Amino acid sequence: MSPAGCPHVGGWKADGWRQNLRLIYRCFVWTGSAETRTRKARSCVCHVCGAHLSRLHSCLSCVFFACFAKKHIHEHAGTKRHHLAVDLLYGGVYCFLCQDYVYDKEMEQISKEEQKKAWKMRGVGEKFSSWEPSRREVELLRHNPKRRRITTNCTIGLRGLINLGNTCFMNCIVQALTHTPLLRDFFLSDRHQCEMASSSCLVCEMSQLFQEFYSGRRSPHVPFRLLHLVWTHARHLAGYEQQDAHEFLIAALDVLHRHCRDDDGKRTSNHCTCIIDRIFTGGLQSDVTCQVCHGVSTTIDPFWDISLDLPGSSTPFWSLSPGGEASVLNGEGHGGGATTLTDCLRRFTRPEHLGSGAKIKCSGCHSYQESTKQLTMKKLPVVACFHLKRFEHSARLRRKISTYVSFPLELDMTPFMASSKETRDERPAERRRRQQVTPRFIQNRCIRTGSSEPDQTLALSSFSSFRESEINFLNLTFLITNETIDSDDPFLHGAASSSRYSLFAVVNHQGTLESGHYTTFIRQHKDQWFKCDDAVITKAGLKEVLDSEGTPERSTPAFLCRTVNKEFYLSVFDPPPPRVTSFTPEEELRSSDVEAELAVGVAVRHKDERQQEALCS
Amino acid sequence: MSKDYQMKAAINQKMIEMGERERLKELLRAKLVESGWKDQLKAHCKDVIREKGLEHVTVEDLVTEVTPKGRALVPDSVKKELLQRIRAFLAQHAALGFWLTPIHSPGFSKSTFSGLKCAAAEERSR
Repeated sequence: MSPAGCPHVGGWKADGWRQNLRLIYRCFVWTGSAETRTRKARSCVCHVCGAHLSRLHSCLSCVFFACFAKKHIHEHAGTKRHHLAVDLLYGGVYCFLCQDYVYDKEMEQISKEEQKKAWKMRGVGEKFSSWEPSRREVELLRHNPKRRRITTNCTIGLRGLINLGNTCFMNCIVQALTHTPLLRDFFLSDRHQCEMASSSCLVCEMSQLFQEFYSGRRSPHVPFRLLHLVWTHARHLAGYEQQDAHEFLIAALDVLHRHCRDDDGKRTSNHCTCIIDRIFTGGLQSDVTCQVCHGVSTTIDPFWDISLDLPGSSTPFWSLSPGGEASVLNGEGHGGGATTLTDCLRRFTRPEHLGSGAKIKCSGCHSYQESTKQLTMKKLPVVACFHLKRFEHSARLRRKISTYVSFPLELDMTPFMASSKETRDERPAERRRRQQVTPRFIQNRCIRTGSSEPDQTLALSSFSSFRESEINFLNLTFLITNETIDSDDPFLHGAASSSRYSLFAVVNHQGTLESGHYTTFIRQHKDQWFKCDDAVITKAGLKEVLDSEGTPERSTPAFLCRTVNKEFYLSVFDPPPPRVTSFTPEEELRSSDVEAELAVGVAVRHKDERQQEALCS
Repeated sequence: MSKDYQMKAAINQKMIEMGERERLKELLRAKLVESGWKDQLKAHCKDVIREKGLEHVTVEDLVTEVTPKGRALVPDSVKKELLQRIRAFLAQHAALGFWLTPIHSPGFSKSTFSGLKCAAAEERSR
């Protein structure tokens, strides 16, 4: 069972064996193109009994397929003295003389390459493969024998930040960013290749910062270099005055996005593939409906955060009674019961009448008409940042709105998506018409045989039955084939898991508009929360986190991370959905109690999925 | 060659042709990892290896020992979901022309074909 294979493999390796083997792998094992798939479907049956599902193997010396389970391939091997066969499902090579699967390094290499190629051809990104250390890495590991292990109670990744003079606004955002799972994985895997000549790359500095945070050192870090870089690149934030954390977040993301641009190699004009965009960018759909001809004009704008108005602001906040009819509430808090984040979101996505003072030129009516505007989510970001607009700067007054807003730990964004809106608002006739326009997805999947017409109608009518029955199945497929979630896809309706979010960081503001202080709550290890107050980190209970968002003095941005499946993770990086358990009472961290350990190289590369779950928070 | 068997063969082949089988495999893989099945089986495999001795154990040993437990441990939700997807595949391809492309399998007859058509139509109307 050694990687050198068995002695019989050596005997088999005649001239041109590599070509033949590659051909076998490409055509019968790892089928990528439609042609090879068809061929596999037609010809891969047992030549003895016609079975197709009983661990078919292909002889490596002649064209012969036979089942393993019923020993037909064994008979062939015996009679023809062809001692090697390859498993058509998994590509393993079996030696009949050794009576076991053998692993020859060169053959394994060929198999892996063909598998990768097939995956690429299917357009589903790259296949996940476990990390294998290169020679250099093995050397490094040998030279550095000290290992760190992550236990459930370890506090690696938590580090205080010294306040350099009203820099709590920066500290809190930095805490949130260093605990954003995808971002952390990206930086800890050294994914950033810097192309900036000078040393003023903010992404490099972030990379350094992550190294500092995950080094295991417990003393607070002094982020002076980061501060300096931020001042250099975002002049409006420079100075020692109090700044707005949300503004800092947007400015930081912007600078990171600009400096990151070169990381991926591919760069199209309107679609950036930098890590910031892949994680934070969502698409906001704005539909303006003309009140006269009901024509809809749609635009989609990218966004990094969602800024929500609160009850108690001077803009009218409509109460959200079940009927959907609105009654304007001005300046007061919500009538009965606390406002929730979903209330704010519902308000954000409600149709808004633009009024006679803001008539839009309608392309249908060719004149200025009154219209309604509605915002919905077209594309969900992987990490959603919600910003509650507590600081009001209007002509009349500048104040902080202290209305209590309650936050859920898990949030489902499905009702706020553009696709949900379509089914909600449309009349049945329009719905049917719209359905006939959208079977793009089915078109991609169906292979049209000769007469396409009957196929199409059948496909469409079965398609409408899907909508009702909420089938989740295509969630995974869709996420594999497209990196971005397009809410036009009707199947996403039932795919609730892709629009579910879990809370992982909350930034709070205490005090007034003029002077105040920012603190952050961070989630670690799925269910442990810590409060980060500049240089002081304390363990916090879940209740404290959820209440804090609500108390009058607090809150501003909250960070939620989307729960996704493994394949999507690999195209962006994201751990499996967390399961929230009970909370623990507060206790202050002692300096040397817990020895945080980190297996070198493990956190740094993608590893086995399950271990990843244990490592990530 | 029972009719059921032939139907199974035909469906399987169409699924391979359209890449659906690969997709289902990946879905299954992801679900099994998520539900912890993979870890359970991995632990069981390690036990078997320890029992038989690392130098003497073969893949066949593992397969015989681990298969029954593996089959039993698959969560019902995963089974249901996959079944749903297969059904949806059938419903989606209920068209006549789809199944008419020649399938080279011994004993594939007209009666099998009509059986397939019925099954597909049934799925669609469900």
